[in-house]
Amino acid sequence: MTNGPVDEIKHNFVYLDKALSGYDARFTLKVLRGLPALRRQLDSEVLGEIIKSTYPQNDPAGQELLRVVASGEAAGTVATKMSDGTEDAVIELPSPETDAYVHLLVQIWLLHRDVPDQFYTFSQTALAHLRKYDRRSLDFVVAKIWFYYVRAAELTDNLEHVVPPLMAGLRTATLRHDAETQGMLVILLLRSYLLLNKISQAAGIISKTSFPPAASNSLAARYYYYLSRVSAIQLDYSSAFEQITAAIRKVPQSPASIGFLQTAHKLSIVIELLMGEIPDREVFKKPEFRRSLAPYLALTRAVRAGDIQQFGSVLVAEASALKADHNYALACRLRQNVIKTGIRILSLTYSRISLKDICIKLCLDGEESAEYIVAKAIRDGVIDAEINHQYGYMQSKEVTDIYSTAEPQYTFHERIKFCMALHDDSVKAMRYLSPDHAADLKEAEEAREREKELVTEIQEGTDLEDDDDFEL
Amino acid sequence: MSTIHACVNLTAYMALSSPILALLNEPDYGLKEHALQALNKSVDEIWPEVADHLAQIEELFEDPSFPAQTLAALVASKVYYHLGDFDQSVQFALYAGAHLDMSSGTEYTNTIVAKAIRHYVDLRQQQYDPRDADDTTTIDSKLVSSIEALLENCVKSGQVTMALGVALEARRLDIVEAILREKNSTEIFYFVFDCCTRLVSHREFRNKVLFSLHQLLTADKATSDSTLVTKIIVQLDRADLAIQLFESLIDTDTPLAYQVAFDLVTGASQQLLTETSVAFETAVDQRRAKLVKILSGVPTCDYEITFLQRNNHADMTVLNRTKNAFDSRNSMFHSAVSFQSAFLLVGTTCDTFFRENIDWLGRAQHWTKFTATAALGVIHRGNLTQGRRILKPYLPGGQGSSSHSRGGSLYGLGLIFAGFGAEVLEYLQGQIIGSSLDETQDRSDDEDVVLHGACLGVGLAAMRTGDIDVYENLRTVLYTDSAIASEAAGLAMGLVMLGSQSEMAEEEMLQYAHDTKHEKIIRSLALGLALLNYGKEEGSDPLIEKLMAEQDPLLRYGGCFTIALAYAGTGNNKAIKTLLHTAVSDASDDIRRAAVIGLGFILLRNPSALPRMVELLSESHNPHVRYGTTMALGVACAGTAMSAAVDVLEPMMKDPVDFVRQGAMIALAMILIQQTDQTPRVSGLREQFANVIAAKHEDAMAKFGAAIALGIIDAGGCSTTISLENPQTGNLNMKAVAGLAVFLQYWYWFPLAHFLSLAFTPTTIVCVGEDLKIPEFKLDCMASRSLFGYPPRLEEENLKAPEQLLTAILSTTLKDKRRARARALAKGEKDPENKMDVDDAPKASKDAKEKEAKETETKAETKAETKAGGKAEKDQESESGSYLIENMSRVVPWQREHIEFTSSPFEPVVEHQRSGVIVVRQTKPGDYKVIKTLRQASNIEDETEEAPLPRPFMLPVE
Repeated sequence: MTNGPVDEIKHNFVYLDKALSGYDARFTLKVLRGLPALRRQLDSEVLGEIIKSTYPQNDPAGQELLRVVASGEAAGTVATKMSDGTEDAVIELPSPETDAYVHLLVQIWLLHRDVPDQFYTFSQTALAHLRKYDRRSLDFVVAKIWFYYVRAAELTDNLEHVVPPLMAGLRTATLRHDAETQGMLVILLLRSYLLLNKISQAAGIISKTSFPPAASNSLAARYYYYLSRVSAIQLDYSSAFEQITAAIRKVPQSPASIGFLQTAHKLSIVIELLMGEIPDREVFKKPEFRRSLAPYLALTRAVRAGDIQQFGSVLVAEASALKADHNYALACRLRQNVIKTGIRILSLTYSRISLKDICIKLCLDGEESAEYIVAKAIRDGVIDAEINHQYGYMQSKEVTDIYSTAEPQYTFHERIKFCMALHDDSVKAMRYLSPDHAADLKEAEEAREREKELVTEIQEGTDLEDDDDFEL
Repeated sequence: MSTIHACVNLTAYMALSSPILALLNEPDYGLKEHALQALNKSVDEIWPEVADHLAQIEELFEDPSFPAQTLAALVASKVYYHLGDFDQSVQFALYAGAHLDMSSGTEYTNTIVAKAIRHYVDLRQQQYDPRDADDTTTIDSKLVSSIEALLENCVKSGQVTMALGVALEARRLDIVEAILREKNSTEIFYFVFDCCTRLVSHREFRNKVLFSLHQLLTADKATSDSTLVTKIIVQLDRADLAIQLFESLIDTDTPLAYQVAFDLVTGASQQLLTETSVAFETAVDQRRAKLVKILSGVPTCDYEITFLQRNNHADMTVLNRTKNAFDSRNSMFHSAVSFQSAFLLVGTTCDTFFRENIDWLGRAQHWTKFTATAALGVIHRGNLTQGRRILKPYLPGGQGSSSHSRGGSLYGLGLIFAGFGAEVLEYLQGQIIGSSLDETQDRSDDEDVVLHGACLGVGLAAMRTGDIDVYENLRTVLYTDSAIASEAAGLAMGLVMLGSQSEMAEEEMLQYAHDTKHEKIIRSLALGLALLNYGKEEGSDPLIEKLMAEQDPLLRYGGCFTIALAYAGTGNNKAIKTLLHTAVSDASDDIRRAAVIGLGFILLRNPSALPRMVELLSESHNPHVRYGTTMALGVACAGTAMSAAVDVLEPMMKDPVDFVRQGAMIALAMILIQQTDQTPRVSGLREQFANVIAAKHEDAMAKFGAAIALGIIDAGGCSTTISLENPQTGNLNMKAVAGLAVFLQYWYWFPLAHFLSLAFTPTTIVCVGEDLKIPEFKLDCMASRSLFGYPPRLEEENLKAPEQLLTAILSTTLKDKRRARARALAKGEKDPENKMDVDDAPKASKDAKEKEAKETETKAETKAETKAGGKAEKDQESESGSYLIENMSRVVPWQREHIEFTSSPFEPVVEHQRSGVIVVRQTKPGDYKVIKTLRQASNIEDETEEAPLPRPFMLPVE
């Protein structure tokens, strides 16, 4: 009954070998794509069987794996001995790719069994075991193993200890031109720093390393997400917004990425609000986002209304959700924006309004602070107005026609730039034909043959016709 | 201080890196040093932050009063290492002094060491070979000393080859010499020699190393390895060293001296051989006289032709079938048959095909006649004793031959004596001087043709002699500016000066190529220039640059061949780059074709890299590039039977463009030459070639290619291969490479295809005694017989073929008849032409039938013979799968390693020599019969008229 997953895993071994022999990473990616489906079927029996049939009897790595798998089960379910005697065939050492893949499977199995400590220690041994290999065909699998290693550290609250190995791994990966692992490690470092609230270190990593352009898109999307988070924390909202947009665009279009998209949209909404803009309503309406984005919808409403009291109550009500998303600190910064929005609404509504009225409408402490806030809003370009200090009122300027400015050109340029980049990326992603196009050649050859035959027939045909004509 | 310690202890937590970094701002050196020490320990984790303080650390390093400068250097180096700036990292690491243990084996030190070596090698190469005159690269003395220390450590820890490799790369002759002196072992010497010939791309430096290697080798007589010394002499091409070697050997170990002489004959230039023999000519002593005789090359040539004559396994059925399938009135098809017969029988002296097919020969017109007559020369290649007499009827002054056969015979004479031209050179030159002196008169076309043949003949006979007189005579012909004669002269000038890089010749030829209006002359001069620069590598770069920048595509074409020949077999990256660039970017198809072909020459020694490289080119939209791919593969992989190359070529046999198919077939034949049915696909290919020839609607070009391919694949009666690298001396076979380059010009001028004969090398082992006679004895071949058999002859199909022919003719004749009747009725008279056809058909079929009967008869005979012989030999076959072979029988290249002397009464002078002429010593007493060579036979019996032409399978003549 366990044949299904066992066969599938063995099938995956073949793919891994194919990737190795054909220098084609696509096969490895195919195998990794199958992981989410496969992980539900994993149990100690399946793993035990796989390990037994893959590793030679006396291989220490195989024995270690088997020990880990067996320790999770009641004694007797999985034989801890390598061979049950039925198979006499000598098994050769598995290829590094297969070896790494089996380790990865065990890791995933441990993660879902909810035994964080064992998971963490096993991840450490797995990495130490795989360090001896230096093959580019391994990159994708090893990158995954690193990922689960950090996940294990997170679960066991060991994050502080993973930074040194991550740094060492990053150096090794860079020297070996192992783009996938390099990208993964940069992301893991950023994640660890952010979770540890070490923003300056994260910023240091960003400025001192370069993310490998060859790394896969899903990694790039995550990289941009963390980049955006760091930028947002460092008050650079416009680049943070660019980065989070890039992250959302780079996400692979598959149902598995919904979780990431939700998280990214949460950050995106907060950043957009911080920039003084109101996010598109469409985003909140999408069925897959509706529930998870609900707190942010409330937040947006408060900011949009420019109602400082409403904002305060939302912040209190949704504090736990925001904290869980690590967005609470950013959301707190929105207070200024609520005021700014309020001022903007006022400036749009009234061509002239006294500072006192502003004070009352926005629930501010006094005229003086209202004056400061308005002055700041003018300086930030939120509103186009003047303050008359003598009489204590704010005078809005006429709304200028945006099409008379260079703004449309800039926007247009931005869009063209995006399209060009998209085109370039698509061109780069194109591949040559696979070498087995002999079929085409054969077809061409057949066509040529047919043509020849036709010529012959026509020649002979005319001869015969001549004769026929004559004999008639 | 306690607070500092607290900080240092806490550095495990990188959150506390800032206090340490803050210490750098303290004025006190002690604190700074402490900070650096702390940083040095934790820099791997906190480098992103430390990077912001790099300027401070660098300042400390430059501060002469700071006590821990080296520590600052180390920290800076590590930070730069993490930042990925390896050049800076290496720079600082050099100043880290004792703090940095280069042999600690961490990732950091390994990277630093690797980068430092790379950096040093780059600098040294630049210094050794500066691009500009004012390029004065200086190398940091720290770098030099640390690299030297590193190499010393390498040698001490036993990694000698590694140290030698780096030293050679870095052009450090002094270090190489020091290591060689210290580790005086043959293995190391061979390693250095191999590295030099295969990996050191700078010619001048390579020669320097080889020379010092030679000095070291010969300094100590006891360890001196004459095989290696010979190889070095051939590489250096220096006669004085050869003379020195012979002087030391001739009296102490005469057989070894002879062996060396034989090796030199196959590998060394003619110039070296002449100079060496001149030194010994005056000696009266018999040994030296014999040495001079060997050095003349005549004995080797004699052995080879005797071998080929005795081991002719050419299948005449194949040839006859081609002849019958082709319309001999078509000049292209006639030439194709000439070439096929010439290649099939090269060096076998078996000219029965020509004698039996006089009427076919008679149908040759103009240049076809030229080609056919020259083919006779190819068949008698190396027949120094009788060659001239055989061609006599066709030579000028012979019995009423046409000018084309006169020209062809002069060309043929050159082909016979190619490389051994002393005997005929004067005669051939006489032909040139005779015609070209009367410049005042206009020469007739006839004389031009004769002159064309004479020039080619002179070029071949005087190949690579660098003889100025010959060159000047040819130049006189060139300056007459006649398209036909001057074309040959231009090429011949290149052949005479082959590989000499004579400045005078280069200048004159280039100048004339600019002056003349005849494209033929320009092209031949361009190729001549390429030949002139053979093997000159970077020495020919100025000419290459000049040629590749020419407006005239014909000269750029020559430029491509110059790159190909100058860098032949070196695998030089720069040359490959230039050619690949030209192959895809030049406007002219001819040049793109030549550029791709050039790749084949450059990768001669490393052919396995080629199929992958040209895979995409083989699918180019441009048929000329595709054709170039076929020829590149054919040249580089010739004789290797490499399956990767065959995989690329096989689909190209079905290319829609006719000349690509032609190229694919020729290249396949070159690659699969001498392969038996043990190699998959070979028998199928032979069939495919035959099908192309027989096919009715196949294009003429493809048929031409198929005919030549059939000739090549069984060249020299299945007893020759195309081997461009000398197995004995390890250098390139210059004659063969040049021959191939000229052969490829058949694209423009069919007669030049005969040059391929220069590339065929007999595959045999000839064991000779000290008396230079060939004893008759048997050698062991430690492998199964079936691996090295001859290809099976055509039999069954032979029976069917005439039948098909018969029906085919009948159907067409019927139709012809009907049509003729129709026309006759219309015209009211009979068409004479048609009548002839009708008459011919039955006669032809009758001929075929007769022939078939005759052939089956002979077949039965030979079959019986081989059966009996096979049975006898089978008894001798032991269980281990080994069997015995005769001395001087066919030994294909991949068979050599299986040959042993265990049970034979002789042993070779040089233990592992398994190719070419082997001098042997008798170990068991006894008298042995001697196989007579052609020359010996003709000297003793003085046979008149025709040379004896032994039939295949005849038992050795006593």
